[in-house]
Amino acid sequence: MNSGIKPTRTLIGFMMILLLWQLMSLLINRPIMPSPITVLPLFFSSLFGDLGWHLLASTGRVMASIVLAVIFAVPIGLGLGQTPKLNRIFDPLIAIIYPIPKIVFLPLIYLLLGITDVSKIFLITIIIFFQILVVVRDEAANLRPELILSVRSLGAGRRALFRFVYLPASLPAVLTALRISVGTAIAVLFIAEQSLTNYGLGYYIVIETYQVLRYPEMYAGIMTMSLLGLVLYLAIQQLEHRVNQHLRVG
Amino acid sequence: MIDVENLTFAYGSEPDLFKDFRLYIDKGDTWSIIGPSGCGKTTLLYLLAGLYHPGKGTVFISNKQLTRPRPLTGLVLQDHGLLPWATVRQNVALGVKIRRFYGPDGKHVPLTVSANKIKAEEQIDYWMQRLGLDGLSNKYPSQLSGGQRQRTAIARSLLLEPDLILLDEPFSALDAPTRDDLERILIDLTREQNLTMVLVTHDIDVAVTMGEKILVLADKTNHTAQIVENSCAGRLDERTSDSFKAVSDSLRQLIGKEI
Repeated sequence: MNSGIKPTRTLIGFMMILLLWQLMSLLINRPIMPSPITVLPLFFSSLFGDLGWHLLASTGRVMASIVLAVIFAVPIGLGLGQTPKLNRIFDPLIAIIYPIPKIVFLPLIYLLLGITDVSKIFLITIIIFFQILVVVRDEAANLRPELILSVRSLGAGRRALFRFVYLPASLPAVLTALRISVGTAIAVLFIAEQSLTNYGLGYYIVIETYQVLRYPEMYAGIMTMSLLGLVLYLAIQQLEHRVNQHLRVG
Repeated sequence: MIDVENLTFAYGSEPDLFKDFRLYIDKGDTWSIIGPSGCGKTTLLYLLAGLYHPGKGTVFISNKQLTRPRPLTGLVLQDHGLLPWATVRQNVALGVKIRRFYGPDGKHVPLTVSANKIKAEEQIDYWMQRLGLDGLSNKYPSQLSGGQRQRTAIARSLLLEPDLILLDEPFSALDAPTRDDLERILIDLTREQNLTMVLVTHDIDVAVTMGEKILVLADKTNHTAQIVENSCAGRLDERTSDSFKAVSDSLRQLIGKEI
């Protein structure tokens, strides 16, 4: 995780996937497995057409969820981590909710929040929220008291402690939690977008292409959603690499 | 400078560490606090730093009642309290950044502090150089030796131009030459800056080398301050002298009696 992005490695991975894909399409030799030679040009042309809009809708939902989850989970996690009494009260609740696959709440959320973008974003937000909440809480609880006392003696009150200690101390953990949960978030998005919307990659892949047998377009959609997950993962990994500089020395 | 009035303090329901305890420390004095572990040395230091609050009684510093950490008090702890993710220079500059964050509000930052950025950078350079850290600017704490970390913590404190510096076991994890070196630096700096210094240690040698006055604490409730006057403080070359031995022996006896 600390190795950063190696562009050649990523490129070789891409080439290998394309090669395997081409081999499979030759082996299967049916319309359900078109060759990348057919799909790639289609991917690039439709990315600037309707596929682009679906990508935008999905990206918007994931990004909104990430931002919301971070905004709520970081302060609450820090508060719980630094206030053992509060943590003891909420810990059983968090311990129960944390491992539940949040997708099972999908119907409940639709019933409560209505069939809008808000409900889809809410579902993905709670997935990421609990991942971040737990790591930030544990990180804040593990900060050495001497460190806090030293910084307080330099004049830091609550706000400065947050800015100069808690935030930088928990940032690596936040990024790791994000990197790990972004895959699940996109998987859930894929399912949530299959119903009750007209935009999003899940909708495009299942409703607009798969169900009407437009196989090359379906593959372009799968490629796009895979790339969305990959790009987010690599971007977060790159940020992690940057904030973890002090761990790579010595 | 420091006036501790009728201090009473205990952790939770444990027996009192201090009861109606009084202590007066003059400006520019250097003090050592010594005693067996668990006697409340560090607790007293944290009380003087405004990080802990007395159960009863009051701590006055410069005639003002202490209710929170005071911007002109520097604190250096045994484990240095450095930010592991920040470089040496960033760690040294931390206090300045905190001051810039609040501005001179009289609560977190003294009203007299100027916000001149260039002057602050010059001061950082000066203190880094003064403590022999200039080649280590971009290193992280994990890349430093114990002595270098302690120098970083001291530079970070002195950069804020304190009038009082509190040190908790500052030499405990250091080898003898590094310890001597840091002792010399601290002795020179307290004289030069007219600093009042209070240093907590479990080491009799350190207590005698650093403290013109030595406060001996007991591992039972402390009522009165037992103070040993020491003329050998600040003279590193006198460690083998008879007077140094005499002070050390009387301390040993006092501490022994307390145990």
